[in-house]
Amino acid sequence: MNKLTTLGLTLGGGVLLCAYWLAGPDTPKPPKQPSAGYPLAQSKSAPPSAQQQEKAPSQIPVPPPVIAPAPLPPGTDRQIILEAIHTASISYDPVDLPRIQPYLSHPDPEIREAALNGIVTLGHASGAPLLRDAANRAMSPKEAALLRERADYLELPSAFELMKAGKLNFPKKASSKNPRQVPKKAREDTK
Amino acid sequence: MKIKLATALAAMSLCGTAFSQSMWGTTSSITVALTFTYELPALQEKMVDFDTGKLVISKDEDGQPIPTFENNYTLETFNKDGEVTKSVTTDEYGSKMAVSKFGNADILAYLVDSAVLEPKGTKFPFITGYSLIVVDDGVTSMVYAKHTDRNTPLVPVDEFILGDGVEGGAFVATASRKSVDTTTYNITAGTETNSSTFSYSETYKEAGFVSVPSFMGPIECSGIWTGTYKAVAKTETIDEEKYTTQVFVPGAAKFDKVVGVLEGDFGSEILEGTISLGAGAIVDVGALLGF
Repeated sequence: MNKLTTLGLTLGGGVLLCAYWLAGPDTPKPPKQPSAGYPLAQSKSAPPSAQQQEKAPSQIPVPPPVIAPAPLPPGTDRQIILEAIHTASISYDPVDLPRIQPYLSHPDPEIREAALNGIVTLGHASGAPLLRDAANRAMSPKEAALLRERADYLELPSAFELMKAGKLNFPKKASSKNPRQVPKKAREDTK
Repeated sequence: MKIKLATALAAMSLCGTAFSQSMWGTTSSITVALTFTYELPALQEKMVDFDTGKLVISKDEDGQPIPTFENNYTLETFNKDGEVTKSVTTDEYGSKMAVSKFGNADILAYLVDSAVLEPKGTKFPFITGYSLIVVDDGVTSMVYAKHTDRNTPLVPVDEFILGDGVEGGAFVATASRKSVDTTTYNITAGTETNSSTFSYSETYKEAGFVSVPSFMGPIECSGIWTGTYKAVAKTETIDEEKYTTQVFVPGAAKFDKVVGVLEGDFGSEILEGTISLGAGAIVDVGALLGF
């Protein structure tokens, strides 16, 4: 059997299987899953009434756009949470900050520390208010102080961006290296 | 960060256990929270206008005042005959301290900018998905840039060195080690069974050093490492034979009280802050680095 025949038979078989699945009355359909951005409770509510079903597409309430996936539910395995924090942090995009924020107040100190480090790694100034908010609910004064310190840090300008904009370094004349020097004339006058 | 005592014990424990094909080690995430403190000019450049003899502020091509650290000028007053009646020479200096953050994003942006790393993502500075990790194989620790894309290999960041501690420097720890080897003899069958247990835990503080990559060259910093280590037995079965390796797994560690100085053409810059390491995750270092 040559390759062309094999390919033809495979494609033909695939088409027949698809047609059977679509047309077959007893074909089991996979259960409908609630989409990621919708509240889970929506799938448990009563089926829509006939009136609701007849609504024009423009009248159907549109859920708000999902900016970032919701945080993981309580009880999720620690390693999964740490991984989720890490993944959000290395987007370096402030849109992912809400994915880390809930873990700043997690009962597990390792997760709280990972969340703080995640927001610092992400490195955006938008993380500062989240850290200050968490500081107000911190488990200890030491943790609160660290959260506020890191918030101040995030609000500093980025060294790399300043460097690229040419605003980090300004040339200095050799004579300016020591500003404490007193000019010769002034030195003589003060004698 | 890498503790000599722990390394020595790791070697001892490896001798006591069977050799296995996996090369167990750990990886930890790195969070850099450093600041640069530097000087900015606090004056505006001034010059004496040739036509009017008056002092004017220099402007750049966009019409903005030009910042400068110093001005030196002489203003003269003339009488009606054009003779100098008064001469005032001024020498002034002005600087102000400024602080900027230097974190993971800045280091990665520098590495992309200097073509050490391939640009990733669609947004400047093209670092999406990159992270800094330290890989500890039990003997040495090396910093790598890792990308979430599995097809992108780990890139060693040679300029980023987490110091083994200062030679002759202080290392103090609360450490606990226990090793028990048991042999059970079956006299009737003439056989013996061996088993062993090993435990180690440590909380340490150590004077150390770190070399941090920057757009002005690597910056050597001193500081204090604090953290923990514990031994975790890693068992794998190869050809129906069980092999156990004691892996020294670091807990979350911190390089604190960081001080580094960068002396450049533009004056000195002071680097301060903290570098944090996440708790170590056990990995097969050989597979990770493609040995």
